[in-house]
Amino acid sequence: MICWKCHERLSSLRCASCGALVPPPAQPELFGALGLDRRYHVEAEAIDGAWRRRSKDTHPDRFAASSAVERRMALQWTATLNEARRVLRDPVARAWYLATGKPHPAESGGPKLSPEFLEEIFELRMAADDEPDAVRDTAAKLRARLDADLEDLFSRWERGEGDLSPVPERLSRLKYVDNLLRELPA
Amino acid sequence: MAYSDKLIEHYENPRNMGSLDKNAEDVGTGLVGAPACGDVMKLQLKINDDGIIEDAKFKTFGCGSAIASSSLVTEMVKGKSIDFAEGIKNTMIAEELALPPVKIHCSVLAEDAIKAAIADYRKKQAERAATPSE
Repeated sequence: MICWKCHERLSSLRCASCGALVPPPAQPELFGALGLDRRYHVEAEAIDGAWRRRSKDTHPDRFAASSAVERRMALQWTATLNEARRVLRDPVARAWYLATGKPHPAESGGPKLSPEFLEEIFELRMAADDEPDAVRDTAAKLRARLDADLEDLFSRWERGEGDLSPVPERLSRLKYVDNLLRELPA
Repeated sequence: MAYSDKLIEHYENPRNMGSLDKNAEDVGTGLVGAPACGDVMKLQLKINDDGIIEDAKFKTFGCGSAIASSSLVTEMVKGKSIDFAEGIKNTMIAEELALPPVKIHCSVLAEDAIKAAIADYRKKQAERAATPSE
């Protein structure tokens, strides 16, 4: 890629020759924005490091004396990088993002969960007040199984096997289980 | 964001909370969930041979808007015909409670629950018709 301003070859978000910023993407891919590979398995430190490096190049303070267009580009980059860091640091949001392109489930529609699963969650909810410990136990097992499932799906996908189409259904189940665990009496 | 008085009233004093015998022939049960928020709603209707809803009960595990939506919908259908209940649209619930846009899905859940309960009742009736009584 070459600099839009001075046509110098670019090695980072900021031209080494004239200091101009690469224009921010209109619809940013969040991993790409941070210069990271699209992977589920990524350490929080790697995300923070990438965010810090790129934020240094794009910080609006560096463009205080630049044109209005460049100041706006710096602001937009900052917003994109912050959003990418926020979403990708959260494993659930990261999983949604990889599977659907959105960091959260759709407001309506979404994967249809089996009546058996809903029944199980409802029964656990009903029992929560009387036997919180037993319910916590069962819910923790459900969660562990879902975690292992997701782990397996993403590991295989990262090796180029299978696809992520079962992921939204697993994440939706996770949401029910997490709500249940969160609202259990202490 | 301010919630409407009606919503708060239904949330604080929910009508028709509880359950009916899900195995009874004249009871239809709808159990639905909203994957986006992880709420679960169970709605039950006791329907007589004339197709009139004699009783309605609900139990909802979810946010205040979901509870208020299910409470309101049980109140709306009690004493009415199945046909009326089937015609209920989530927009009626959303308008009545003045739900904010981010909570519209709660009213959708309540509409889905009513439809599921009626479908369950109809299925039971069809099975009863298919089994000759002695």
